[in-house]
Amino acid sequence: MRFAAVSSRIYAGLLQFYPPELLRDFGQDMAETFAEDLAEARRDDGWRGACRVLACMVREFVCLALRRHLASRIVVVPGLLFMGGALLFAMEMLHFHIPVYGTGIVWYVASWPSMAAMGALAAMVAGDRSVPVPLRIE
Amino acid sequence: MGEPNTPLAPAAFLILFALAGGEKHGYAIMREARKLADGSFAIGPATLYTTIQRLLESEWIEEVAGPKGSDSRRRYYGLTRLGDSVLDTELRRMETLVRKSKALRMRRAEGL
Repeated sequence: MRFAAVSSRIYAGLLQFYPPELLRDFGQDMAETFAEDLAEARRDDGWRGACRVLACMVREFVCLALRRHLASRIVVVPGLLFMGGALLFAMEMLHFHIPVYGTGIVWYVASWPSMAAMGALAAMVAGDRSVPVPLRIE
Repeated sequence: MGEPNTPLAPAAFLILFALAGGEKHGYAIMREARKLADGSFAIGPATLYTTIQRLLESEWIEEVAGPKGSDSRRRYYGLTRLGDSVLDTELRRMETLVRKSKALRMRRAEGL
């Protein structure tokens, strides 16, 4: 009983990451279908069935909800800036033989999150629209 | 929206196929679709309702009144005439594909 309640609560939390229009029309149905599915799987197959339902929940969350957020400019722009900063840092270290100790390194490392934060700010100012990423969103 | 020129996505096909047997509510569609897929395609609530939303927008399925005595909180769905025609077209496409690939394999086997 407790397991079902906790699982349903987790699912309700994950639902917040799905598109708002889907939640508006089907949020309640999705939560009820999940609870019904979990109860039946546990009754028929025990913990194995429950694990199957939970695995499906995670897979759908990654494929449908998370991918949608990964395509968001607020995630993509800072992410690219962070990766760019890290790459630039690695190249500079190799080129100028910068030692991996001392105060200089602090400034270099601090530059990545600040670049990412600036990117996030710029993306927020520009508006959180989706940007094309090489992911198939089904 | 009319009939598609491309093959249907697995979830859309399974939902249309599940509804070909009669009107059903969401959970019943999911169970039927899983049975039809025979473990080859995992369909959960998010895939189910994302696809139902698209099928409703395309007018391939519609919300219908449930059978007498059914739980009033549940929403029932049924195929529209257009949805039925889309399913027929998809089944014919699949049949043709299977027939052609069988013929090709037979020709190859005879050639050996």
